[in-house]
This record gives sequence, C-alpha cells and structure tokens, in this order.
Amino acid sequence: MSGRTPRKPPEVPRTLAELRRRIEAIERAGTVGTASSAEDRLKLGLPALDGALVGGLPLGRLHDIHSGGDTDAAAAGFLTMLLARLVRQTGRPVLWCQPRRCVAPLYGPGLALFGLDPAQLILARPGGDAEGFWAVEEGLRCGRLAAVVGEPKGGVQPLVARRLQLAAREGGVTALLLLSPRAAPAAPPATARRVTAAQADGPALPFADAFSSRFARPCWQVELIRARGGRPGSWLVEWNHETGDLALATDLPDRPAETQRRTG
Amino acid sequence: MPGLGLPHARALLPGLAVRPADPAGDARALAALAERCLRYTPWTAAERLPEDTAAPPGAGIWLDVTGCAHLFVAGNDDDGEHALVEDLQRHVAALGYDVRAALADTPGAAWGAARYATSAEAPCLVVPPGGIERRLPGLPVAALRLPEEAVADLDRLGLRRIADLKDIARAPLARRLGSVVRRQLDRFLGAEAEPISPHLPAKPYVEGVRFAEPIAHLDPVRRAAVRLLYRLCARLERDGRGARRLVLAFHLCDGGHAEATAGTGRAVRDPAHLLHLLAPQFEGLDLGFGADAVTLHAPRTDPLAPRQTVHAAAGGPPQDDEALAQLLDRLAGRLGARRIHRLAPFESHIPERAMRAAPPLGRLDWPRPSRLRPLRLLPWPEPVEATAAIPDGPPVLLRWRRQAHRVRRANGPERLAPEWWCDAPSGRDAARVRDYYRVELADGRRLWLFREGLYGAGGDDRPPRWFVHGSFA
Repeated sequence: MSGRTPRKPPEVPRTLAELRRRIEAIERAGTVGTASSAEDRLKLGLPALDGALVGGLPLGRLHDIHSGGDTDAAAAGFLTMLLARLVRQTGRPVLWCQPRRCVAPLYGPGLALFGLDPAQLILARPGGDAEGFWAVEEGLRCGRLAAVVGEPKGGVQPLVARRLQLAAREGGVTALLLLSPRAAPAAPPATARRVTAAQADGPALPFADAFSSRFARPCWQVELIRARGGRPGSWLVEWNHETGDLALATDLPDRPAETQRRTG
Repeated sequence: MPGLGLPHARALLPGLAVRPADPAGDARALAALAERCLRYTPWTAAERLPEDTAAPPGAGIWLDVTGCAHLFVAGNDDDGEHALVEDLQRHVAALGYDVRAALADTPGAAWGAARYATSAEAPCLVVPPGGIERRLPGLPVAALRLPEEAVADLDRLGLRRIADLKDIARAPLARRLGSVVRRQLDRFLGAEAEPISPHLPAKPYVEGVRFAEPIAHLDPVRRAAVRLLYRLCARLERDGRGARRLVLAFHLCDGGHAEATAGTGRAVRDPAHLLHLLAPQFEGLDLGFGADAVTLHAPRTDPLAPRQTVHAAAGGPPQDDEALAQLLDRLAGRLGARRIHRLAPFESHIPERAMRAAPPLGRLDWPRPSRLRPLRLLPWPEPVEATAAIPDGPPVLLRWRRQAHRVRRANGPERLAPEWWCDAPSGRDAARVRDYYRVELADGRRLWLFREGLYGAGGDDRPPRWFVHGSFA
C-alpha cells in the first residue's frame, strides 16, 4: 500500500450518476399521474376496501394510520396485517421505529398471529420523534425494505411529512405512520385511515377454546379519511387469525356500527 | 496409567479427582505457551497434540534457537546454549508444568532427547554440535517419533535401540518396514531436513501517523484519518478480514485524547462505509492546541472473503443484503447498537419472558403460534381494581387508569404457574399462580388481564390482585 493520499473517485462519474438519478426521478414523477399498474398496489383482499382505494394500497407512498389510543392495539393489528402482506409480496424485511418509551411495546408471539414472521421485523428504538423520523427516512432511502413504520408520539410537521413522502418515492418503499388519535394528519399522505377496535355480535364463550372464540376474530372499525383518487368511507371489518383473511362484518359499509350492535 | 478404567482407578484410589478431557483447551494452552517462548526465539511452534492425550510422549513445543543462544551467555558458559535451555526449563516449570528441555542439531534428535535422554533430576540436555551420533545412539527406537505399529515391528525384529538401526542397510529396512522408519531415522540424524512452520504472532490492526508539529485544524487531521482508514482497509483485504469495531483516536499535544468508535453488524472493509460511521463523531471536534498523532485500531475483526464488487462508475447498486447491513450500521451508529434488534423467541411460558432481543441479521426461527397472545405487551403489568361476580370468575367491572370500564365479554382463564426453577418458591416475594383472561371492554378494546394468586390458597396470606398485561388487536 502506498502512503499517498487515497484518490477520491474522479468528479465526472459522480456528476453523471447524479444526472442519471435526476432523470430517473423525473421519469418516476411522470408515471405518478397516470393510472398505477396492478403490481405497485397492495390488495387487501376485500372488494369494498380495494374499490375505495382504486385497486389497493399504493406502494412506495406515505400512509397515515390513526389509532384509538396508546393501549389500543387495533390500529397496530391492522398495520401488522399490512406488513405481513408487504413482506410476502417483496420478500424483504420491515423496519419498525418504535419509541424507546413506548407505553406498550410490540409482543413477538402476538405478531405471528397476523401472519408476520417476527424474524422479518427489525425494531429500531429511537429516543425521540426527531430521531424516529430520521430513522424512518434512512430506512426509506435504503430501498431494501418492504416497508418502514414510524410511531411518533406527537404530530407530524408538514415539512417532515413531505420529506418522508419524497424518501418513500425515491426508495420505492412504503412508509406507514402509526399516529395517536389526536395527531393532525401528515400533510400529503397518499391515504389516511383511522382504525379502532370495534365490537361484533356473538355469544360470549367464557371457557371455550380461545381460537374458536370472538377473540380469535377481532373486529375493527376502519375509517378511510382520505385517499388520493379514492373515496372515503367506513367499514366494520373482521380479521380471522386462522385463515389470515379480512372480511366485512356487515354488508352495509357506511352504516354506523352502533346500529348493528346488539349486546348479547 | 493409560488405559485404566475409571471405576478401576476409583477402586484403587477412592479420593481420586476426575476431570473430563479437554483436547481443545489443551491445544490452546500449548499455543499460548509457544507464544510465551517467543522470548527465546522468534521461531516457535506448538506440536500437534496426539489424539490420545494420555499417550506417554507428552505435548511439545519446537524452538529454533539458531543464532539466539549467544544472547544468554553467562559466566563460564561459552556459547550460551546451556544457559538458554536451563532458563527455558526453569521458566516453564515455574508455570506449573513438568517440563524437559533438550537442544540438538536436528528437531528429531531434540524431540527424542527431551523425552528419552532426560530425567526428573536432570531435566535439561544440550547435545553439542555434531554430537548426535556420539551421544544418542542408546535411545530406544520410539525416540524416532515412529507410529506405535512400527515400534512393535522393530521390537519383534530385536531392533530396540537407534544404534541397532544405524548399521542395517537402508534399502532392506525400507522394504520390510515401510519408508517411515528410514525417513524418521534420516531426520533424526540430520540426513533429511525437517522444516518447522513457526507460530506467527498476529499483528494487531493498528495504523497510526505522527505529525512533525501539532496540527490544530481539523481538516488536515481528518485527511490523515481517512488515509489511515484506507491503509487499514487495504491490510484487512490482504488478510481476508473485515472490521467489526474501529477506534479512531486523536492524541492531543496537551495530553488529551479524543476518540471516535464505530461498530458494525458484520465484517466490513469498505472505507467509504466505515468513514460514514466514524465521521459524524469527530465532526466539529475541538483539537485545542493541536493533535500530535492519530491512530486507528480495529480491536475486533472477522474473516471476510473477497467478493466481486460492482464498479462505482457503472452506477450499479451495492448488493441487496449489503445495503441493508449498511443501513443497520448507520442506525446503530446513531441510536446505539442495542437499539436495533429483532424479537427472538425464548423457551418460557411466562409471557414477559417468552421474548428476547436478537441481532438484526441472521436466522431466527419462531414457532407457529399455538395460543392467542396480545399484540402489545406492557413492560410491567399495571395493577387494576376489578370486581368479579364470583371470586374465581372473570372480572365484570374494571377501574384502570382512573377510568371505570364495563367488561362486555371475557374468555378464560388460562392458568400459568410460576417457573419454580428461576422464581423464588416461597417467602414474601414468591411468584404466584396467574389466571389470564381475555376481556372485551364496552368501547371495543380487548385487554389481557390476569389475577395473581388464588383465593384461599394454603400458606399464602396475600390477597389476589388484578393486573392488565397487554392488549389484543
């Protein structure tokens, strides 16, 4: 090894690479307006929801998911289900940035129930929201992940949301933000939805096998607040741990869940 | 007494201390001893241990002291060889070993002499130059380092001493006993050379540069650090290794010291990536009156096979897994290595123990879920006030975080007993049986509750208590 200062790569290729990258970005931006093809959307397997989203959840975008509260795991369950499908579709792991002082951290044995192999989930524990957004952005720009999940404690500034959206588009990685119920929606998310736990009818089975009870088929009230090109709505959906499918718990999508309920 | 059965040995000597054989440990100890002997010569090697460590010849270390003996000349000893051998023997014996040392013209003769020409009273022997044929013919043929069968064959032929072999014509000897006896005899006498491959001490991965004058500007110092990094990476590449940890130290002229450290998830020798990890740590560093020297040390390295790289100018992206590993290193660099992990299963039925942190890369096998478990688990169960219709039944009303909740539906109990092999079995802080219930509150939230302790359990005067432990999706 010579003792000379290592030569930096010459400037010309770097400029070329930069130009190529820009052209690529322009080309990618050009396709945004046109109808997205089927492969860059994630189908939820539920015609009503997929229809409202114009064919499924667009990949490589920023999506907001509002939860019902700190200890409400309904939104996290819905998110985990999305992650499991993204992992299966891309064959890549996911990164979940969960604050260090998280009230209720994720539990491995529970994740597997939603079809997500916990081995495919890399957890980052940022100390605060700023660090968390940095980690999300790094993960998005890396481009070798199926999705990146951010779980900020506060809201999302419009500038931050814009950065994340650009990073998601650049890396082609889907960004999902799990937000508290009071947080304002990030400025330009592709979709925003609110998922809260909901009840469904069914007999209480106090001493029965757990997998046959209502607890094995959690119900969620999924409210699509905004979707670019889609149509907002609200659905009561039911998740089945055994088959790994979503189903409508009621066939009237816009009817409030209250009227459906009958305490059994 | 080799070959003696353990029960037999115990019958003979009831107080016998027994240790299991540890061949790997023995080999390590021998290698360490060979390294210690570097004080006598730079050319030392540990002998390969025989399969059966109880074999009589014992373990050996080769020392090629050619040109080293004169350093030990003392008193009337004219060439220092006696002094060297005696010093070596004393030194190793002081470490608690039963040791014999012999010095001869050939490795074969030294091997034989150390084992068969020394005794407990006279553990050292120096065969003077050219003295092998004069001094050692009386040794048994086993001193030639022959396999056991060859020794037995020679014994049958009545050839018991090396002197007996010397007078026999070579060709018939080889024909009858194979070439091994002839070759070992030649090596013993010096007619055939026997190379010893030395133990080479690992050179630590340290690179450094000293400045003629202290430099107070960070820019030139940073350039020097980058140069060191490239130099170290080139060395790592030559040795087929990659760094797992790097320490970049700035030695300041006022005696101060500043460090930047980087750890990587797996072996790396890409200078650009390593610089990316180190640079944020010394950005904006105050060098005070200036830095005297910069050193770069890789205290931990792992083997890393060379691989085909894509030329940077071709614009090819790095390998898939490599880009991911670099991302994880960047995250670990800022958040801390322990803050990037995966969840690994652990064999325990106590919920909070069923999970451990695991490194972010590598293989992990999760079992298929066999029970309903919550998606989020509270780090510590939170106490709640609960009212149950019957003492051992599920709760009907909850008071949690100063809010009352009506339980709409409950499912359970699932009884989990404490793990007596790691929990305290009795006393005030004894672990208690838990009865877990899944409950659905009036607002639709699904919680995992448990009641700790049983009503009317004998010998336990603490009343049962309720806790929230997690929430279902």
